Amino acid sequence: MGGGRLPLAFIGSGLLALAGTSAWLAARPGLAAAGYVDPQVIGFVHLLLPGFLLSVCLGAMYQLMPVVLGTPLRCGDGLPWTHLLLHVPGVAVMIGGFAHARFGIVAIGGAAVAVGVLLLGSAALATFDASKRRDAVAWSLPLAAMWLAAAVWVGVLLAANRRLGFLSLGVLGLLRAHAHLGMVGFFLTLLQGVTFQLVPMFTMGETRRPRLIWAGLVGTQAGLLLLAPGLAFGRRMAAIGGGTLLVVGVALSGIAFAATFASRRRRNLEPGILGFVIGAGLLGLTAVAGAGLLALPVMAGSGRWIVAYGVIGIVGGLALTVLGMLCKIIPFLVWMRVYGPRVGRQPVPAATTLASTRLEWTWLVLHLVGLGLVIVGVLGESGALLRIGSGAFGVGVAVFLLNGLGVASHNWRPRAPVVAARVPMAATPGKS
Amino acid sequence: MSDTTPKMADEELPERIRQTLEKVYDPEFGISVVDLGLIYALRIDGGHVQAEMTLTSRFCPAGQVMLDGVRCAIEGVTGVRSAEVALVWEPAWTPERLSPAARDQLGWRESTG
Repeated sequence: MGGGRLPLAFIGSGLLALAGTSAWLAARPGLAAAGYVDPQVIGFVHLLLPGFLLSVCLGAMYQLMPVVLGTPLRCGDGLPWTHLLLHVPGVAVMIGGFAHARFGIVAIGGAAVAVGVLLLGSAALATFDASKRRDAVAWSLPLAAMWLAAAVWVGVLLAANRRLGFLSLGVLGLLRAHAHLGMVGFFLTLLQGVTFQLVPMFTMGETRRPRLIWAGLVGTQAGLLLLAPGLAFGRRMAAIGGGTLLVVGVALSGIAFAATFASRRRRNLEPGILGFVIGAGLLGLTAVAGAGLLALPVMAGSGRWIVAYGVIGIVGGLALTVLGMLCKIIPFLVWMRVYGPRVGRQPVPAATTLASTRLEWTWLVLHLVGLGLVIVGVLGESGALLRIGSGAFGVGVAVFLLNGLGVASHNWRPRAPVVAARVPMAATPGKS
Repeated sequence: MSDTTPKMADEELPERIRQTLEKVYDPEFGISVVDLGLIYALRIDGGHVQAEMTLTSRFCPAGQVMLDGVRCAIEGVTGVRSAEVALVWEPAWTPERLSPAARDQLGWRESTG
């Protein structure tokens, strides 16, 4: 994949989308108070989800699949790049369609994204098939890819239906199913697997409670198999049953994660890892909130509780876990590209020194403050809190991107390490 | 790290190699491969060095980079003609192989581990 170029390209496009969300919020800070079926809100959510979060996760998947599955990607060299060329313009067209309430355009952009997802799915299935690894971490990859395919094609159907009006099913139910297929089916499934690969690796810990990891994954998969059709077809009991299984699955994964995290030898917490941990906790809270909304229709009838649920899940849970992990992944990918070939030949900095810890802490604090204020603003219907919270989130994004640019600058301006070697430099080693 | 050197050879060569490897760092933890306890063995035979090393994780994406880096570092040492580095998984690496300096840097004390 050309020295990490492909993952960095996906991640870069995702971060551009993130910058776009910040700009959108700056222009419309009251967006979070609008109805969740407002096309502008849906457009914003799609800039955040397939634009930012999905783009980053796709880059991470193409990087991780060979590592996790222990075998090269089973696809042509051009496939991932073709996916990128479908995904980025597809998302852009889709967002443009939403912004102007042109759903035919949304369907076209969405179809491009969906074809790209089929390419990912084929690569994931083929690589999984060639791998010998069959634990929950390995299974999470093809499962996530398949749920993603389901989510995007339901989305394309919905958009086409807005234009052509051919579906007899309730559109709102399909919209909810589409949202949960994506958020739970793709993002949560992926996190339930790769968390137990990445967190021990970055914290020098061990994967603990493997049976709970399995049980957690099975729980969410079973839950989604009930929840999605329950939402789509308006079957309340099926949806409640699915939501309950989801909560159980998330809880079991959470217990396994807590045990894995506790095993770490790297005790000093970095902001990226802390952000990831907080995000994971918020995903658990989101699962409980979702089950509550299903069980208490009175609350579900109030748009502000649903918006708050979405904000906690997306801006809290998903964004924090992804941004937190990016604090580790971006420096690592840049380090591999720039300094990897120089190891052993000259002093090189550690990957962890490429980023600014101060900027990372600043981002994390602003993100949490913004999140808290937006949630309170939504529930309390306070325009002032929404504006301040959106502003804090936007500034946090700017700080995060500034830090990312600093890391990326190593591509053009490699630097010697700041910290001196533990042993004083001997005479320059050379052949006698 | 164990090393075997034929008699009458450069007796300071293993120490020079060790000191050089103390400047090869794991990219994630910023700790040398020596302090991480990744270097299992060094065999020196008339200027040719065979090293055995492991990694902290079987799924470390920087594994090949580390192997190449260790080989280059050893080959750059005065008195070394050539080097090869083998990746081994037995015995499995455990955090107990960390040096005291590495444990300090990580903030790890055994009672909290």
